[in-house]
Amino acid sequence: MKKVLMGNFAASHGVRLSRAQVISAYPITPQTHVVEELSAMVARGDLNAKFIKVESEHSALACCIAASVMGARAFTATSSHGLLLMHELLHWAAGGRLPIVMVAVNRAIAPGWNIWNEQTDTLSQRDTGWIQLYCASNQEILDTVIQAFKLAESVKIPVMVIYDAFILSHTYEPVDIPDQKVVDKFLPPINNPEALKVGEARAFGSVTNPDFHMEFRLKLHDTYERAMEKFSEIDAEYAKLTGRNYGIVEPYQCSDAELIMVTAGSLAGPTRMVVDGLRAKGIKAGRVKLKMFRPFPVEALKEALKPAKKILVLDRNLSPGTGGIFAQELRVALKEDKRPVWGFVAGLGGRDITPELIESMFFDALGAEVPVSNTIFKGVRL
Amino acid sequence: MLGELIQFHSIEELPDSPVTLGTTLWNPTGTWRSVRPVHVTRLSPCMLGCPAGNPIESFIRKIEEGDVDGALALIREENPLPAICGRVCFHPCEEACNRASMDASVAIHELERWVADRGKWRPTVPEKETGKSVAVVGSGPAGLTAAYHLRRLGHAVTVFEKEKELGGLLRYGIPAYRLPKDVLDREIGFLREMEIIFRTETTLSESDFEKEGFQAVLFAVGAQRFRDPRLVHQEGEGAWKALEFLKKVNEGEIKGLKGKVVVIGGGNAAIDAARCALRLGGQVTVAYRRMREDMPAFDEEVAAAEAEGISFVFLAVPQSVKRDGKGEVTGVGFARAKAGSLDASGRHKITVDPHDTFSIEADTVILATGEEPDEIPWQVDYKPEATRCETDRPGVFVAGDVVGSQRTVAYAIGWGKRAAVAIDAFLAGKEAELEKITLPGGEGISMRAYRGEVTIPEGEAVSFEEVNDFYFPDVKRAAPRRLPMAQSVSGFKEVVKGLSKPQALREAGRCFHCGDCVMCDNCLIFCPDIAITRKEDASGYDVDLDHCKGCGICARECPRGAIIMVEERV
Amino acid sequence: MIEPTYTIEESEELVHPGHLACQGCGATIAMRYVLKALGKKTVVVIPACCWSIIVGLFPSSCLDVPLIHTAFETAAAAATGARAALDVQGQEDVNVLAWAGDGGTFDIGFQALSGAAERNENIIYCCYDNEAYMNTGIQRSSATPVGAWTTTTPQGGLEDRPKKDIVRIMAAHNVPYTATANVAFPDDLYQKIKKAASYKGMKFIHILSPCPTGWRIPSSESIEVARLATLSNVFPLYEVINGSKWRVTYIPQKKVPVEKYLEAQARFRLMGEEEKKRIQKNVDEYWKELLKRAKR
Repeated sequence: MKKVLMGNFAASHGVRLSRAQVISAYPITPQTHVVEELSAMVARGDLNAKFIKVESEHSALACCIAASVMGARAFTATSSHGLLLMHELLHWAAGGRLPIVMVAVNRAIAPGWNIWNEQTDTLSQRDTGWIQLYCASNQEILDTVIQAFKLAESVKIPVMVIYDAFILSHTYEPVDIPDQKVVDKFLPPINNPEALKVGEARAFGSVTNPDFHMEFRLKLHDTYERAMEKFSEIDAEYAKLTGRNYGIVEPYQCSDAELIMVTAGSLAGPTRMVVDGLRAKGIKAGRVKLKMFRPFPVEALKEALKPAKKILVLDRNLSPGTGGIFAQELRVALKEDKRPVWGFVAGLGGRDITPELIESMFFDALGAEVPVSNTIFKGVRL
Repeated sequence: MLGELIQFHSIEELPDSPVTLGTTLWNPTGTWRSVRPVHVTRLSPCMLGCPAGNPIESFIRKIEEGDVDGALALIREENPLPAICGRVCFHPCEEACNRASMDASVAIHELERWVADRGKWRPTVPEKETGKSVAVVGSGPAGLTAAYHLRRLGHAVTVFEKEKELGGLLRYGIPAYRLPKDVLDREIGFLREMEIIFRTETTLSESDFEKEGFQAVLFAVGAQRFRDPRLVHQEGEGAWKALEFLKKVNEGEIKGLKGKVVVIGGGNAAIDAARCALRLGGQVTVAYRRMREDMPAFDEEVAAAEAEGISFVFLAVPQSVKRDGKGEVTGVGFARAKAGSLDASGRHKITVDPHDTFSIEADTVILATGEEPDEIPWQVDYKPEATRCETDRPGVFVAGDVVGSQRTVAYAIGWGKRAAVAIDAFLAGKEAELEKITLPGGEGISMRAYRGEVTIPEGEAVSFEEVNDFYFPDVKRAAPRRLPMAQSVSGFKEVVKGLSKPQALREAGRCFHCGDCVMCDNCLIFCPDIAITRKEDASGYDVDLDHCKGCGICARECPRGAIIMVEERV
Repeated sequence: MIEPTYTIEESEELVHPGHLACQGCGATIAMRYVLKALGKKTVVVIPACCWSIIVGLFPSSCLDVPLIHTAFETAAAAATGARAALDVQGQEDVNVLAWAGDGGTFDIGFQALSGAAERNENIIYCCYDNEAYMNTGIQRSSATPVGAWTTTTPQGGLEDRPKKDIVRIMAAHNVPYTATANVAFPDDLYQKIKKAASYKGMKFIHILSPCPTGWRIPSSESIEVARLATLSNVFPLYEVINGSKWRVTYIPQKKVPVEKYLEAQARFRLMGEEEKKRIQKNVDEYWKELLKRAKR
């Protein structure tokens, strides 16, 4: 069934179709609609879940963690400061190997207060052990939420489904809502054999001394690596049922591209437009949309970037003093590579990234053998 | 008991996250311990206080358990005269009772009496006769006790009593309002059922002893010899020696007294005589040479006498019995004394001014100035307080007031027990090992320990500091029912009527049971290490020493000092 | 018959020996009786506190029921989540017990606690209060009484702020059941937990749990000192139904001066006579007010 939905509602429908059992959330702009719609769904009886209106994001995730430990399918949604408040518990969820799914709407971090789009919030959670999936459209949001539950439950690692504030969260797009039967076939009820059961004397998260801590982290690390493969399988299975899939990375016009720009999230759309424009001008431009950031898909990126002579990264985020986080990660992934990497930082705190601005980045790279600096800020106003 | 620690041999065996798989039982936290708790049975102070060696704490526990007969059987293992002791003993056990430091001591004597009056018990004839024969001379409490225990040990026993009836001081000295004669008869009746032979109005000569084939003899002839105050004009009508007076009263030969009666003395005989005189119609004054608090009589007795209307005059040193021309008593002349500092016995020293005199009118005078041990009619010598009851002649023993200075029924019973043990050992050709059966720090001995049925706990008795008084809420000490005053003073009916059943049960509940585990579960309840469990047969507790960390809470929270902490040897 | 002193029913021990509590730990005794009252159909949630350690290191647990360890400030939130999961699974008869120390309750976990109370989550929240951050080495918490020495109040009484009145605060949330309890009164504790379990909604039990290490007392005196707290009215035993019906559950037979309680513990050794007198006055006033609230 097709419906015109804003991104946040697309997320809510994904959660409904996934039959989440425990939802715990705290309101924060621009995530608010997700939980508003979910509470309405629960109230209407469209979703048979416990919806807990906690008093903070920290409690929201704590609540999901315990529910997940007890074997329930748990979901939360947040953004920006809320996500940062959850930081401690992000580690708990991943270290505890709990298949929780979260929607994180990318928003800038204060000060000053800024509710607009920026991806620094989720990217600064990159070491918590959560799988991160960035979405480029409302349809992708809905689909990814459903896939995320399946992925989380099959590798026992929590998954963050991420999309941009306002650009997606508050923007209406036509979205195909799959049939519940289709989703049920794809995503069976949760069955976590390691969940605690009443009557059993097991303790989750016990004090672990140096004899074991490292082994647990190694196990997490190894499984994390496998999560990429697993996602590809799930993505393919989903495609069979719905005709839609997104891939870990989505190359566009890359097969013969000399200049390839790497970006994530809603920037996939404008960058695609710009590539088309450049192609019309005879410039062999291409674009790679990064869906999965954690685990970082090194091999898939290398493959997609193979034809490029020059690589561009567009980051709507900043690690102050270091630059764009995607660029940083990519440079590490390509460390054996001699090709120059242009690291562009733009659109922080919701500033517009216009097609012209993106185009100018391609021209920067065209006009030089190597970048003028590691990090190039674009669209600076003053 | 230790469990096993789960081992992992490969990373695959590890769960995905730290979710536990087993218990902590493998962890030997007992190694943290420097002291370990040990459940022990310790002496309770009451038992040390009892010269008769009554099993006080355990018989009270039987009462609490609802087993009155069991309580009585326990007492009778040690003491053949509980109905008597419960009435007339001055209960030093109660002075020793730890509860006295909290509110008031447990009314142990009332409980003993209640058990003796209510409990059912039948004497038995020993299963095995030793073929040995023992003579006991004197049927007072010491003689009766010795006879009872010797008989239980399998010896044939013959008791010789010079008076017409049995009981000695119990019959002729103690008035019926304190000890009804049927109570005494009942106790003696039990002894008869045990086939102890009693010969009254008989003495035992040395030749008869040999002729009749006795292997040992015990003299328990008491102390009834009059200690003469040598007052001017004391000889003659109207002036009684206290014991003679009491004997006549007890025999029913004195039916009434008229006028004023002055009793001279401050001991129990003085009070008994005074209270008897009152009951016979006299107007009684007790005159004592020292102060009220110096009186050797039991305080309760003095108080009862006061309550009944007997007057007391203190610091009055008797000089003469005043008589008129016809020789009839008209009064008693005294010299006034002054009280000084305390002497070694804790009583006031007095100084007498022979010129400061006064007199009290009297129609009858009773001299209760004390008694001396009676003479043993044989050629035999012995030392006072001879704890093994021995004399200079093998086979001849002494017990009771004749040898001991503490002349009370309880002490006499204690003497009787010691004599029985000494004689039993003598008959077996052994030395009596009294030390092994004497409660450490006390005077009483345990016949059950002598027979090897129990062992006497070692170490000191439980002190009040070791009792956790929180667990004992205040409960008022039981006051026994009493005969109304008007009835009390008009006859010889027993004044104290003992406890009712609810009173007795509540009173028994006041007992701390010092040093004796009653399975209250406190140790188990408060153990942070879950290391204490009840034994399956409910005979006590087991301590899981693999896990007990030795915190000591159990010992501290034991209400009755029945857990001690013992240092671990390194 | 020797009357039984306790009404605690015979039941399986749900705390195993071999745990890692210090000698004489009151919190361990508290857990024993709380679990005895709740039984095997219970899920326990423990935030960072002494009990995170006491319960044992991976792969061992001393509890015979499922346990969720959770972050310091999250006991009430995690309990909420466990409750939600059980409810959605149709296991509404299972008790969820949040078991937190005073730091995790009075301080860092207070927000989550207040939130859960406001939502009237169907959980039993027990704060075992040993009156400081004992697990980390005796630092002051807002449950530390006036005048107590801790490693962060080395001058003892100089930091003159009264202990947070947590039960009144919780009662002010108008939850079905709030109560105080004391490990020295296990019967009262047991009965209160039984009672708590009979209510649907938020239950809060504040349990005084002596810590020999932090209170500077011999381990053997743990219970004795805790008992003095109640006998001296420093820690009265009471309960509040629906935030309005107050009932004192234990009235000391004999009044014990506060001084006796303070002097039994070396943590109060820096306290002056004047201070002790002031505390006695405060305790007396609080007790009077409590009785008034309880309409006694």
